[in-house]
Amino acid sequence: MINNVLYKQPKFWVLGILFLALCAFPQVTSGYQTSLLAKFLVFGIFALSLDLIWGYSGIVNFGHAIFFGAGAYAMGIALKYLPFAGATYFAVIFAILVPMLIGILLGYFLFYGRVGGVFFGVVTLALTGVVQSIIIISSDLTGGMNGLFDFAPPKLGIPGLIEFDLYSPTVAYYTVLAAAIGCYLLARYIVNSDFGRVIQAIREDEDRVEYLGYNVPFLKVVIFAIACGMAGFSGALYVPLGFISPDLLSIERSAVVLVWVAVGGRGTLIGAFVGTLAVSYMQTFLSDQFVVLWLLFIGVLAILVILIWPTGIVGFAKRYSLRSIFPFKQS
Amino acid sequence: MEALVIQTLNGVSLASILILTSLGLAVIFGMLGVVNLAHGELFMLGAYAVATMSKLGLSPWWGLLVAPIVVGAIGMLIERTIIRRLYHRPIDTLLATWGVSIVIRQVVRLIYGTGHMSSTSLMVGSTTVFGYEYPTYRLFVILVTVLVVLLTFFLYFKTTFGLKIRLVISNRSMARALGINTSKTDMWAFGIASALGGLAGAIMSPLVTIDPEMGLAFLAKGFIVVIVGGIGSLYGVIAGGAVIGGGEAAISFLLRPVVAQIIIVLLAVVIIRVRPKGITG
Repeated sequence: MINNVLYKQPKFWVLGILFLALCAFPQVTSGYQTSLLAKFLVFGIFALSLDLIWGYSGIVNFGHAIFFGAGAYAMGIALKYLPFAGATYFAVIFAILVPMLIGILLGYFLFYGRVGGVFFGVVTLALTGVVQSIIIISSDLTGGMNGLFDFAPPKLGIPGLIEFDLYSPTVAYYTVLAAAIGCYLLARYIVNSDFGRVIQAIREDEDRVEYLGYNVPFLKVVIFAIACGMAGFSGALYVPLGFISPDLLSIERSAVVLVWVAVGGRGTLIGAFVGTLAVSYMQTFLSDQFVVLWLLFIGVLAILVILIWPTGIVGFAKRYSLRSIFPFKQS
Repeated sequence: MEALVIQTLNGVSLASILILTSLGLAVIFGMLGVVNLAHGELFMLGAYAVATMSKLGLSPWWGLLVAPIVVGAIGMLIERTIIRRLYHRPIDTLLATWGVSIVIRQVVRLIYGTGHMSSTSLMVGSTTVFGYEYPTYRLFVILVTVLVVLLTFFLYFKTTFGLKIRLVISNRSMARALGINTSKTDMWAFGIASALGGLAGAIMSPLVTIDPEMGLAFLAKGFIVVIVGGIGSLYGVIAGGAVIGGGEAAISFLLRPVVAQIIIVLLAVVIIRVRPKGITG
């Protein structure tokens, strides 16, 4: 109830202009820029899934790239072994279910084992290396260090009637844009639901929620599985935009997504996109050539955001005069 | 029979290495409630200290001496500038120390380059144990671990400083009320734990490839040891190290080392489910 009072609807015209600008983007820019933004929106969905668990239920995942990578690999493998038309849809479902299943298994062992808070982060960090090794050694299925390729190109549309090749930047962009909006709305729906409120209560005080009679480990497994499925979905969307290699599950990727969310603002959902776009565009401007300096910058950014700017960009926007334009929900 | 003896010794030396690496982690967590994700990088810095000494033409034994001092000082600096501000936000400390670990890795890359380094071995040759030849250096690692563990226990249970640490752990505000400068104790505890990490890296340096990424693997394993053994207890580290190190040596005997490492982490996850407080908890 209190939430509803605080929650002011974002100004309609702001969202409208933003939406139109995003729709018009491929028409006014080059194919390169379009696929770049598509890629960043995919990363935004990935960050959104992390914000769901980190920002709302207090589960910090240092191996979130596992689920992104699992989604991409599941998609690639399914496309390779399902040769019929329309396989893309099955591949995407597969790419959501596989990470979800991994998430449920992991959640069962860890949340029911009461590994919470910081130690969950630590175990997931350790698992990143393990999953990467598994992918590298099972090279028959995954292509090992070389990565996975020669799978059928993913296609959307109605097989036989009208088909769109996802390798076209414009098709990929609009697909990703629709997916990003869909995922955002889904996440918003989840956090505003009763379930979402209990999840946030768990973040605040796990023991108290337990005393109120909720099955805390179960609820944590559920939200974790949802986030893992969403991360897998973003991994699937990444397939037409990049390469499937063990690099997708690297510790760096897991670290960078944490920074995206932290910079954007934890527990805000939209902050995941804001942070991802801000940091990723910064990366392209600062050039990918200086990998060492770039990572150094990411490290410094992580420290600085935590120390002096824990609410991130969206928190900053909320606090200052931008509030009238972007009345984001308090959380 | 030979394989059995050798494999047992491998297990013991692997366990020693794990105990040496995890001890600092357990001290920091038990004392400050902080999970230090930069611990692997402190370990890496210890190894680089030895490599640098070798490169300068000095005896690597100097590296063994320098590593804990330098790394301990770096640890204290990290505590003063970053960790101290985050004691009431444990999950944020995780991200901040993660940032620190990235920064240390990249700074090392900028200074030493991306390639790997090696250090001259501290000891060569082998010693006869129960009638079988075993590398002397690995036996030395076991000896050092035993000494370091005894020293840590002595410090913790028999000195005034240890008494203060235990008091701060059990009741921080009471410790402060009794006139203990908890902020200073925190700094020293963090410094000592970092020095332990640096020492572990220095000791390990002749046995591994020294590159900026080396800390990550040890960090992950160190945490598994701490969690499996029982979070925040010194006995837990020894139990955890013995189980994980022994287990890995045993499985490596049968399967490929990579597979053994995968199995051991997955096994650790299962152990956590069955015994959430660790094997000693």
